[in-house]
Amino acid sequence: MMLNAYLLKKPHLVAGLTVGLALLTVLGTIGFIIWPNIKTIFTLNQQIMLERESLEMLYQRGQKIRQTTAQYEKIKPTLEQFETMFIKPGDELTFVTTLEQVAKQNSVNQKINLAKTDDKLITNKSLNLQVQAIGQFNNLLNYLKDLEKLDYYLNLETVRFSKPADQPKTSDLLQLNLAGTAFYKL
Amino acid sequence: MSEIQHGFINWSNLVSDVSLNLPLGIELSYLSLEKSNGLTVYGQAKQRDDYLTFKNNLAKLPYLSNLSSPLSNILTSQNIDFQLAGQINLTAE
Repeated sequence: MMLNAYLLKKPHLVAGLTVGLALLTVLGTIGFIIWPNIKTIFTLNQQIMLERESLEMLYQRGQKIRQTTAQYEKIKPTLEQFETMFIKPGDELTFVTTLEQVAKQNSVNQKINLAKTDDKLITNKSLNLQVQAIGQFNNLLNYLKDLEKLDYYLNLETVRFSKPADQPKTSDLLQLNLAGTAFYKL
Repeated sequence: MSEIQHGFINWSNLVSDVSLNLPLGIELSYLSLEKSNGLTVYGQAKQRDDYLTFKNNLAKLPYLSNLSSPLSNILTSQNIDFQLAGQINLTAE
């Protein structure tokens, strides 16, 4: 009762106390409720951003994998073709018979000298090849063209046309000597 | 792989070019094309002009350079045994 009477006599004090309490309430609300929530929201926002970047990276990786897979599918037939361009060790006979077929198709007599599949003779996955072919010039030229068209990798170093020593001078037969490299798939 | 592919030379094109540039009076007895030593040709020419035509034709081929011809090739006017040598520029082929 006495306090009430006292306060009634000092209205500015009441107003000051009211404002003070209101300020305390506001500051308390800000300090204990709003600020921790802002901090939480900020932290969550950062985590969301990191998660988003991580997801974007995963998406890009996924895209790259899809692109790589698509590109691989595109070149897969070519890769399979590459496999047939090399002589498989132990399967030299297929290569030799292919050369024989080419010679036969072009009416050319052929002698092949191919280094054996001895490790000492294989250098840089390659195999030395020497061919002596006898025939008419046009046939020999077509034979050479057909050899160059073969699926095998065959790099010739020397191409030499000459008159065969054992043929009469009037003969139109020529000798073609080839030296080069065929390649192994090791 | 690219090294292998780079080493490939289409020799038949070069042989075709040489044969297409042979004048009628020329007969070749030896034609050698090598990566390392270039072109070497031995042959017989009926007339000196035939030989000169052949030599000039070869000189016009874009991948042949430094064509060398010994003086003996031009010392007689008929039935010439000649030889020619030149470098093959593989990048220009």
